[in-house]
Amino acid sequence: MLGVVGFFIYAKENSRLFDSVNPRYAQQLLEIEMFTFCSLDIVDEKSTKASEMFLGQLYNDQKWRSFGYITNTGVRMILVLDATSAASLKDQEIRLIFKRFHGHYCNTISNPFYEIGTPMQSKWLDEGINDLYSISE
Amino acid sequence: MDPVEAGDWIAGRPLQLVFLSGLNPVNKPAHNSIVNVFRNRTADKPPLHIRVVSGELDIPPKRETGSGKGILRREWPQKYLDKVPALIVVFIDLEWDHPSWEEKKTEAESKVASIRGSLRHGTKIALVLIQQKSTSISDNLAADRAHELCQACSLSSKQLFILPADNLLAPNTTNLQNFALKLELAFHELCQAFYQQRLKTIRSRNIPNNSPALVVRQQFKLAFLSELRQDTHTALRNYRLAYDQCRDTVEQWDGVDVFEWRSVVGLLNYKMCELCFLHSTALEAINQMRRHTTVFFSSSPGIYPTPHLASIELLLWKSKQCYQFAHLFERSVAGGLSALATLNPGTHLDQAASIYSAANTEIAALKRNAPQNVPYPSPDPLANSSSTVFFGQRPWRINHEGLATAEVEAAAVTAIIQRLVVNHEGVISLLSAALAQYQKYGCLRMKKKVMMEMANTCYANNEIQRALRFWGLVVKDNALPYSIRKDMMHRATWAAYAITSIQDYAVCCMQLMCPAYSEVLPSDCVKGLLDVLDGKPPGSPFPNDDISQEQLHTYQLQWQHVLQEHPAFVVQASKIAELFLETRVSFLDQQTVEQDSKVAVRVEIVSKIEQVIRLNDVSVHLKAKKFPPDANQTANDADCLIYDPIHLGSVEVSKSKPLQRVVLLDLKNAKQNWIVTVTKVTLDLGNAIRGNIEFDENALNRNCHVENIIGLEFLKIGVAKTSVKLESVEKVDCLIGEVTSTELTIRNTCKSSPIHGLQLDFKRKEQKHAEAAAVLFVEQDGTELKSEFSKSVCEQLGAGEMAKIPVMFSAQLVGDYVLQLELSYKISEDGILVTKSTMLEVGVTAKEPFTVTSTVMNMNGIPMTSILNNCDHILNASIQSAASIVISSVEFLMADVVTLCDTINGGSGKNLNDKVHSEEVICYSAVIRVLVKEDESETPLGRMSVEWRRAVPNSCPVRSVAPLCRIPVLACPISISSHIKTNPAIVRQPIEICFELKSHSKEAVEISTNFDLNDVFMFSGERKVTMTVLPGATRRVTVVVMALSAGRLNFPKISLKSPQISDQTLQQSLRTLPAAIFVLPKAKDLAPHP
Repeated sequence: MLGVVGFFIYAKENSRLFDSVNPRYAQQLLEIEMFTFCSLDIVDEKSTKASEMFLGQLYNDQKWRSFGYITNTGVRMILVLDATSAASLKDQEIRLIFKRFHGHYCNTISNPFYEIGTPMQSKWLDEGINDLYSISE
Repeated sequence: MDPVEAGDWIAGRPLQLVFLSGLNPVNKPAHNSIVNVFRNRTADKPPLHIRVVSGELDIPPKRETGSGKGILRREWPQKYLDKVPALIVVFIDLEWDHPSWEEKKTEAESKVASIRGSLRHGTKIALVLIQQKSTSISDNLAADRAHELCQACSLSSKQLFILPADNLLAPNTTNLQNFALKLELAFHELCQAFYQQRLKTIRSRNIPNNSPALVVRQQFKLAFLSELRQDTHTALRNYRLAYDQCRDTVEQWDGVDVFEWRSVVGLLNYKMCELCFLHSTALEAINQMRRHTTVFFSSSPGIYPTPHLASIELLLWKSKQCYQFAHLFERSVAGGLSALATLNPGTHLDQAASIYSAANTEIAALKRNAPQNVPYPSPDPLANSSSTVFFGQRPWRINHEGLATAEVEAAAVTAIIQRLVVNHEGVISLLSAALAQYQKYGCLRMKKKVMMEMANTCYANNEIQRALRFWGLVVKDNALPYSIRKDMMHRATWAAYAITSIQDYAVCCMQLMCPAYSEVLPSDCVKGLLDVLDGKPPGSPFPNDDISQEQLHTYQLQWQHVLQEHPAFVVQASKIAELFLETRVSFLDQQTVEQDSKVAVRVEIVSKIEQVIRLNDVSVHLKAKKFPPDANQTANDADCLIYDPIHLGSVEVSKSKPLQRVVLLDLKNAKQNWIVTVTKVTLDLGNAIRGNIEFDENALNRNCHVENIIGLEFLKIGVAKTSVKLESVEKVDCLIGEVTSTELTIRNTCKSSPIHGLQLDFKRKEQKHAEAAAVLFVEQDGTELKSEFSKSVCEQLGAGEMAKIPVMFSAQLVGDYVLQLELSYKISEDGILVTKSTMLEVGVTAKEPFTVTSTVMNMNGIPMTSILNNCDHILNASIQSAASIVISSVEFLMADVVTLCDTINGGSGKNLNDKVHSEEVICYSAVIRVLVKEDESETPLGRMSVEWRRAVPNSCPVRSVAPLCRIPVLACPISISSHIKTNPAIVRQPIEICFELKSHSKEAVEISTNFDLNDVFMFSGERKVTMTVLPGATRRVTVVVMALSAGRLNFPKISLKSPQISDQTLQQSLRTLPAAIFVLPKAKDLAPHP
């Protein structure tokens, strides 16, 4: 089991655009939310001196690990993994995940009826999330 | 039971122990100076721990081999730090030429032998001779005596030292310090040799059966002695080997010895991290800590002494590990290590607090289930906690190979359970330390997380007020996820209910009444708040199984008691991220308003819940203040004005029916350039219990987009009303040069008093636009244009009366600009005539009456981009009118080099009456000839004068001059023209065509003519002619052609060649020839009769 816990997208003003938690970890939602919230501190620190969009591993404790990604327009993406999982994703695989979700995000905001800054609901993101959680199976 | 402390020795760096013997600092001042010098330890000195000993040495006896079954003895490191020295230095007052040399030598020998007899670990011995007269002895005698002394004491030459005593007394201690430093360096080398020998001895021991405990013990000893030897890299390697041995055998640990193993592992991890930080490899230390937590934090807690106690002990141990690492990390940061937000001591302190909190939870559960009224066992099984033999040894199992007796084991369990306490203060102190670290490194969200945990801990510790303060600080963050805020507000509601705080309970309910929370709440917060407002005890917000009926009844009684006092509460909306009511206030007026006027204020209250909320009153507080405020003066009452609040009275608000009200505000006593703002809106609600919701400037108009706000958020007080006002503000459209008439209507806006002496002036210097300064005015009775004018309008204008002022002007520049006319008048103020003036603005839109586009064509009507010298061309001028005008005359004002060829049929036109409507085009043509001697790239052809007037009656004529185009001129000395003598040309009849060549040069030109034949004509005549044309002469070439078909035919082509003139130039001269010839068919009446 790979242990993909959740995926989150935040706007430049730190407002939540998209959030998804693996149903397998639904009972630990509060811990995951708080962990992701704290990871934004690391994003703020790393984004000022980042040389690429992928920020690497942000923060980890006994249960969770988070990886970050920031676009040129300041949109932040956070991937949360289970730190106790036996398997682990390679760095290149995580980059690929973020790259694919960046494409899904672009497709979502290309919708002419989508208002910038509001929470997102789109089939591209849903399909991406389903593919992401299927890795955990 | 808390983890056993390792002892004081673990703090700080270990130092090499050196004993000084033979000194008497009390009775001998010289010895006292020596002791003081050695005791003055500084950082640049060798790492020695120097102790002065006297009498018999207290060397610990040799322990029996194989005693005990533990892993690490607790006192073993202390033995080498305090008891077993690496070096013993013997001081003797002995001169080389002492009279009793043999006796002194024997005395020294006996001293050294006595000390050596009491040593067992290979402690080194050094002998220091204190001498007074060192310069009077020869070197040979000193060497001989030294050799004798070394042999007698069985010492090598490196173990004998001389300390000159000439400068032992103060203040001459500088030399003594230098000598002491050299001695210390020598002592350090001897100590190094001692520890090296001890390392070899320990390393050479055999480990029977490769016992893990013995292997760890050996590695630990090697590591610690390496530290004493100041070889920290070797020490780290040995500590790591010991740690790896523990990690590899973690599954083989005996169940009853897990606590001991865990204590040893913790000690090893501490030493490894400490040395990594010492080596400035912080990342390696952090990685080691991660490995430590990965391997040992997730291990099984075991079942000894009981499963619950084992779990609690594991949690306490884990918390201690995190705390100790954070302490090391923080100490390294204080020593110069730079930490980041991702790697800082706060994360480990936070983790320690979390684990400690979990331990508190288990301790509380254990104590609830523990049997009551059990006496503390006697004798106390935990009495020997501070005197255990091994690290992590149970106090009740001292001197036992395995478990103690069953009775002792049971008593120990009982004692531990009774000694355990729920320590919330410990968690709070850890969280406070973590909070400080997060503050230091700018981790704002992590700070909020710690504050939430601190609030939860305070709530568990029954410090409800403190918990509510923490929750209040965290809840202000609008970016906090809803699920977290829901959980936090849930607990805050419980806390507020428990302490019967109406203020806090109301704040929590108002936040939880937002739709985002209402679906998941176990209780109805709307009903709870309404009950409180009606003076009734609210329902219980606790889950059903969290509180007993007796406690609930107690809470209800407390609420009834508090509600009887009818307290009031105030909710500050700016301190809450979201509220179920939102207020928007705006001004429905222009940005700038006049003094003493009334403005409309729009108040909107939006509710997010479906239930109807009744508000007793809505108060809108407004203020007018100076803007910007004076920096040099403090704010005082003279710079602001507070208006009476606007009360809207009793209203009802719901989601489907928001309150929208517009009221008038009288801006009395407000001064010019002040701004008017809404400072606060207060909502009054409740019946028995009154409450206010205050929206200050930060809370108003929030949570909505700017474009959704109707009106303005503030107003500015503008200038006072003017007495004279321009009635009409329409713009005047005019054409350049045209004399335009307009009429200004002014009105006296004063209510009662008339104005006197109205005078209208146009001053050129006061105009804002440069185009306005160029406007020329025409006086009414004159015909002269002036740049400024002054006109008296009337002597008196009554209140409310109007006056009309005719103005005639001529705009000279194109553009949209404003004429500023100064209107001066006198008005009576308190019986005195005061001169005032105001500016009247008249908008002017001036544009050109027409545009002139001119082109040059050849005689065939083809546009040309250049003009040929001495040849006729057609100048075509197109006039596109911008308005309906009538052109009365047109005149071509040609340049000096341009002449008009035909003044009868073309050229200037007089007495015209051409009407041109807007956007229409009219053309005028003239035949011109250019006479220049050389080529010119840009030859101005001249200008065109047009007399025109508007297509309306009584309009004035205007003469406008427009430039004509510029065109390059090509100089050609030969001009050619053609003339058809037979007219008209008839098919199949001879057509005679004559070509005339004229030379304009000053030299004779030889020209060859050649005709290009085509199938259309039959040609007769000389096809090729060569002639010489004299200067100014004209030669003719006549040919006869016969057309074979009728219609428009191409003109017979002729080409010219000349050795004096280029072909390109001659080609240009052919442009004047016609392009086609029209041939008529034969007429019937001309047909010959057969």
